[in-house]
Amino acid sequence: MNFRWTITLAATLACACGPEATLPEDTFEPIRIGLVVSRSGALGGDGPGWEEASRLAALEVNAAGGLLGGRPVELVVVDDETNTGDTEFQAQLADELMREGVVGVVGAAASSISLGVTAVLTPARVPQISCCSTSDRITAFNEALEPDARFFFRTIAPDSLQSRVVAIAAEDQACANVAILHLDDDYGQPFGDAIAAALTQRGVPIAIQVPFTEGQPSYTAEVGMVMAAMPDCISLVAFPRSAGVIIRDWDGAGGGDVTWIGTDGIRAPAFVNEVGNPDLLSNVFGTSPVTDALTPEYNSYRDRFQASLSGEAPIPFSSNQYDATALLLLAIERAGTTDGAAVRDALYEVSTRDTEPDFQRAGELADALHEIGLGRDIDYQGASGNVDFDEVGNVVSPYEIWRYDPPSVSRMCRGVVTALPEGLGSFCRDRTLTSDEVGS
Amino acid sequence: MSRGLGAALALVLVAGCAPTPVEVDVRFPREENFLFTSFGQLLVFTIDPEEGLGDCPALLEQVESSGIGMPALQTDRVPICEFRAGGVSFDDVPPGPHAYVMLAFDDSDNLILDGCTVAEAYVDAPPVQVQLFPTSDYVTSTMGRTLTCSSAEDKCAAGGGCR
Repeated sequence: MNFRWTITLAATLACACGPEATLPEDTFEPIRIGLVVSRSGALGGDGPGWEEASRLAALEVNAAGGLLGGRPVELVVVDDETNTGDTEFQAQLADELMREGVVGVVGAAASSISLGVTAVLTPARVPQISCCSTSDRITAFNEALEPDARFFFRTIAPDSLQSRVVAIAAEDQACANVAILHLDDDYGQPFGDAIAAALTQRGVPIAIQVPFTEGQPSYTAEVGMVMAAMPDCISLVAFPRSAGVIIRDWDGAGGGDVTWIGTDGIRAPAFVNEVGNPDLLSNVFGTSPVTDALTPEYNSYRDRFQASLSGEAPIPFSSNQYDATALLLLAIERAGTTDGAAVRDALYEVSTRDTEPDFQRAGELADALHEIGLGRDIDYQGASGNVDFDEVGNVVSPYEIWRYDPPSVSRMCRGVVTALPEGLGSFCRDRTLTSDEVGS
Repeated sequence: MSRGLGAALALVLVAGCAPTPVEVDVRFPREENFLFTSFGQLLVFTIDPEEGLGDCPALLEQVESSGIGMPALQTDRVPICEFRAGGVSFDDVPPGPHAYVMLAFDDSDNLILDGCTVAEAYVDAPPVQVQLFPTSDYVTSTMGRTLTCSSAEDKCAAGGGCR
């Protein structure tokens, strides 16, 4: 990326030879933004795609002259290795970014890592925005703090609502005996518990609930426990890699026909890649916050993404990552400073509708910066949704029940089709539920 | 991908002063953007050294909506490969900070990329870096058009005639 082309000018001054700088040396000092991304590990297949989304926002702002009077944006990237279990490592990532002088952080994707990083950043009053961390423990983390001490935001809705959608999906599939197989971490454990509660509330029997640890080479033990409970449906809360291994193990153990109901964590090309044989996925459904609606904002983002980066379509949740980065950059400009508390406050100002602001779209950040420069209110409309933050840094969004369609299977799709790269098939939006529908 | 292509844009010196080379580093997001570009134009705007360091968004808005306005200096709109070949010249660059606005047009004269940076040219200054980004016209202007050049080198070797 970034095809460079250099012009060399022979400069001159009207009245002096050897002109000297007239501005202080640090006038155009870069503004450093931290990125916590998974370049390896379970989310390593998707991390680079999300990283690109952040780079697009930085590119866009730098093409508009940067922030705070001509200062370019510079991204400082650390690889979290999708290491969800090592809180010391997560704290080290935060320390490393702070040593690099970042004024805000985008990431992580995995909820456990986001919590581990914000355990350092929040006390240091450094704003942090995640694209993809949906755990309800993050809500609890912020609720335990006074409003002035909250610095964590996310551009994706929390799992508290999605668990209800899983139960609705189970009803849609006429599930009579549901097993819940979930990650044993800050993302999976509360999500699994919430799904169990939602199924119970809807009167759907639960066969068994089995936690598992990410990163194992096989899950035959857990799969065996589930098989013994003889479910007709399995609710799977996993990351792409573990989900892929589980599906293979199920097939290898002769698990037979079962309906899988995944979540946003596996709605990714990396999941299909991990399984290897798409035909094993002909009965995979799932739930997810709607992040790729065919809105003008998403279209604007997708067009810029394809024109500026690889030419490929953005991967799922890329739009959430772009919005997280864009909001942080706009908030810095709005605050007029890199002070953490001021930027945190400005995040609310640029994302929500207090007065009668000008709406600004994803993919039009130069216009947004222009409006801010004129002292006008803006209400940024994200590529992933309206991204209006509530008092604990959450957003609301509609949800979808999706279905995976292998390339070998031809099925009608009533909703939006997300084609996966490299002929990996597609995700079909089978049903859309508004947040009000889910809430009721 | 990151590739360097040298080009010289000569500025005329005032009598008694030796030419001081200043590098303007223009960055296309990807090579395809360069291939779709037929013409380029560089504008230099005078800005208030205290209040104008954040003028770029307003200048881009002006350029996109109502034309180039009143730059202090400007090149002609010339084939993009002429920039690369060093065949474009300026007059004086006054002291102090300026806004450098680069415009890229396709073969139908649509503004498909632009970018702006505020910088100060002086002896031993770092390169002036102008990052380009697709305008709202980029997609409609390039949609359905196939590239006929395989690389920037091919494009300029062919006299800029292919894209």
